[in-house]
Amino acid sequence: MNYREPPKWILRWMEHYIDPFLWEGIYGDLHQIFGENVKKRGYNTAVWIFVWQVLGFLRWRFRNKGKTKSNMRSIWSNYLLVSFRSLKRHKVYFLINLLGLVLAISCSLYAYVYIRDEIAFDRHHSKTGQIHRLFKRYINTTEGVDLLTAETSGMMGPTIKEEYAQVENFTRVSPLWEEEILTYDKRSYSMKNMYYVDSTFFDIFDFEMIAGDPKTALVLPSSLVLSRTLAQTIFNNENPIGKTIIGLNEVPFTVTGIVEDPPRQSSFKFDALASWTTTVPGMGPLAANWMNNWRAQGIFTFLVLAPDSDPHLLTEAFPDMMKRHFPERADQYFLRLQPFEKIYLHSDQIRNIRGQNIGSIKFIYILGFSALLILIIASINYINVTLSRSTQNRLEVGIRKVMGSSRQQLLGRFIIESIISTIIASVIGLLLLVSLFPTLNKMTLKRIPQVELFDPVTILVLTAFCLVISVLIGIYPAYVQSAAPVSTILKRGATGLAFTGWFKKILLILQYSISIALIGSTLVIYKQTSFLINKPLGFDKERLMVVEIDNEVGVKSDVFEAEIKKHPNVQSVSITRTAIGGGSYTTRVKPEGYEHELNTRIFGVDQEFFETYKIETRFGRTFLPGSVADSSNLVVNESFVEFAGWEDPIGKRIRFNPDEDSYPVVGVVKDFHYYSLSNSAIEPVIMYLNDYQHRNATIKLGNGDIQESISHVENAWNKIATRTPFKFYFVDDWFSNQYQSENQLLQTTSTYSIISIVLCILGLYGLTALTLQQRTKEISIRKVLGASINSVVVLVNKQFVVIIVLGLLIATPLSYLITKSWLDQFAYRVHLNGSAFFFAGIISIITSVILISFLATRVASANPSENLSQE
Amino acid sequence: MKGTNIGELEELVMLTVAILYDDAYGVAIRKEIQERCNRSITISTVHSVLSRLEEKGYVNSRYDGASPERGGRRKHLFRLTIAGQKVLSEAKTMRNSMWEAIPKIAFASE
Repeated sequence: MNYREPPKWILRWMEHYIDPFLWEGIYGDLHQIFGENVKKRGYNTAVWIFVWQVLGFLRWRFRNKGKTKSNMRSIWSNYLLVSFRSLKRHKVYFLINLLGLVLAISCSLYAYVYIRDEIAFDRHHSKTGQIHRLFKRYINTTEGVDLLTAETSGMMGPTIKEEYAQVENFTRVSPLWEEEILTYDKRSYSMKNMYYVDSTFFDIFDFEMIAGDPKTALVLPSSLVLSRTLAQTIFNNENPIGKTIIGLNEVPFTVTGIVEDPPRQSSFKFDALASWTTTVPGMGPLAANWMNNWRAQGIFTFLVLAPDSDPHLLTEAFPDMMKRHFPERADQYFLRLQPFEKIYLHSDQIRNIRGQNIGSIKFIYILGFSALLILIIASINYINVTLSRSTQNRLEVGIRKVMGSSRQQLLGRFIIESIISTIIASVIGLLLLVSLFPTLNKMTLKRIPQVELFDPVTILVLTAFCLVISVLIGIYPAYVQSAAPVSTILKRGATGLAFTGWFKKILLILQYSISIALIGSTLVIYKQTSFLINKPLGFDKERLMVVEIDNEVGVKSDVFEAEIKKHPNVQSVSITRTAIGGGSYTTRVKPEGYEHELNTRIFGVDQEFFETYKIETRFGRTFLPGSVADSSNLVVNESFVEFAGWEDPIGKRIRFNPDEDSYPVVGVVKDFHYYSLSNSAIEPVIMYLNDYQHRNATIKLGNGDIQESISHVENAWNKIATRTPFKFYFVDDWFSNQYQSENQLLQTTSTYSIISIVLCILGLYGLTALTLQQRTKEISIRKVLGASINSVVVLVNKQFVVIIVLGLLIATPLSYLITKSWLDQFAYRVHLNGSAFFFAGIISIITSVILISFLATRVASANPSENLSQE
Repeated sequence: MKGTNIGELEELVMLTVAILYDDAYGVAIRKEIQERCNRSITISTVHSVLSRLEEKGYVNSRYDGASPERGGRRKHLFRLTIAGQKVLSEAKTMRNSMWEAIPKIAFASE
């Protein structure tokens, strides 16, 4: 029989930790069991069981009692005791250090949890790595356009799949712009996200089907796959498969499957998926030409490449494909590929993404970097305060050295102190974070489950992090304190190392420059955000209510309008295709006298549009009430006139299609904003009289009771609508909702800058108090010799003011560059000057001087005889 | 009275030590418990209980009987002490008296 030995290494290792008297019996037993297991389950399994069993003996009961030399143990337990006592004795300094560490650890831990959560998005698909999103760079030199957009046309996907062998599969995804209303059994349900997708969707993405066949569910026109939640809402306990639901444009859909809700960490967030064939003209009932031609750009395309193919080769082939199929845009659209797993975080620069969750890599950098800065500030506090306190420990060090302590032992003694501080701080920090977690989730619009904080990996990282930090912040003070030779230590009045003074000052300067940079940047972000929110929009956004009306109410809009107008608080009503905050579209037109085609936004409006929004007329007139003749006239905005280069705009003509009539301009209105100001400038806009598409009703309310007016409108709605729920928004709310990412950034940086200045002040407090303690005698003598309290206060303040000014000088240029690059992404931005940083510097100086003066006055106003008599 | 009480697992191990009489060591005790009670406990737990019992003075131990399948190591053999025997029989008497105190009606449903 071939007998095999158990792994010896683990036994050898274990032997150190086990009582030698028990070890022989344990060894024999383990050996015997191993032999039996080899016979029963084979060698490999036996080894696993063996290792597991050996580890089971790691118990306090079996410990090797003779191992540690008792002398060393008592020395170390004495260090622990003395460290605790020393922390207890200097409560104020301990609290300063502790508070800093608590804040730093909770900031870092939160940043860690947040970042870990963000980078885990979209990793659950087995084909991740092969899936790419098609996007394009759109360059138009005549209009000065150069941007990245995710929008592609419906023909691109199928053509690429057909012509290039390395493309294994594709799916098109077209989320709806607006909410969709589904009707089943006379009840209606509104739903946020419905995607039209190809039948290959489930081959490419791993979303779990609960019912229905993933291969065939989305093949036939009018097929609909519901998410689990939506299926439950609509059907409750009924079996939804095969049931008919009425959707957009009264299209009947058949439910062919149920899919598990997309996981939290998914960029796709659909409630329902409808088959693409529904939209193909000649096949499905929706016949959406724009989704299935080359010209219209409005859908998203995802490709699966063969496992070992190079995406760059495919990208290089795209211009050729464009030339063959879509020559009109071959010199403007440059197709590119983006790996699917990068979509969530790396889409900051790519426009026109809709119906998807999108994160921001920039925010991750800002969060991580700010946490690091707070950590640096807190560490500096710790180092500075500990260094300044080192004289207090001199006696202890001297006596220990005399008794024969080695240098390493003393280093250990002081590092234990910092380890104790960080461990206490991390426990408090963790508890703090647990209590703040719901607030933080709300602030960052994330839904990170709280258990993530207690994830084994997180706890392990936190522990390792604490140890590293303790050593980093503890090593230099420990080194300094254990350095001096015994002879100088035990002498009274010997001074510390000269280098330490410089070191502390440099750290202080660094600390202040970080804090000033953070405060300055926050001020810039604040200025920019309030600029965006408060900039005049070119119309009156107050008390403007927009009701979304679809076919049902749209066809009876006269009745609806008349009904609303009965209320005295309704000043005017405009029923239009376009509303501010709602959708509009762009097209290319040819203005008279302009060489090229001009990309223009089109607004379908009615006669009351201008009055309702209070948009000012610049030249000519707007559409006259009741005028039918105006239906072939146009109104443009100032930007249009500017782009077209018209001197006298009234009477100029605009051609929409090369082979159709042109229409005259009768009026020019002032530029007004219709989108978020953060990334879109005002484009040329054409307004035409549209009396047949009624999508939105904009209602201007007076100063009367808003709630009462809303319920009046709702009553009017309920008289007409049978299946559509009443939905509305206010234009000013809509605009302020556009600045969520700016607000989020502002909240984050404000929090960090407040923490940073608090920590700086605390550190300064500790440092000044300690310096003053050491200089009490000097100050007393100065007073005896006739110095005034003021001169003493100035004396103490002088060096700190110099330090803060130096910090300001370092911080300003650095943060100027950073904030400038942030501001550059905005279409409308505040002018950046040094005032924000100057102001930040002033804040730091004033708070610091007040604090120092307070401390110095206390020492200086004490009776010198008391201080001097202590000798 | 604290100190003379024994836990359920301790009682089980002591009984097994008594059953095995002259050959009570870790592996054998574990196997016996497994066969009699259909209860699998880890070898480290067996050792832990034995060492606790020895500390309380209910068992004593000696080393004997090296063999090749034990890697040439001797067995750590255990035997009940007088105190151990006493505590076991006390436990038994106490239980018996409690069983007898149960009124017939309490088990009537069986």
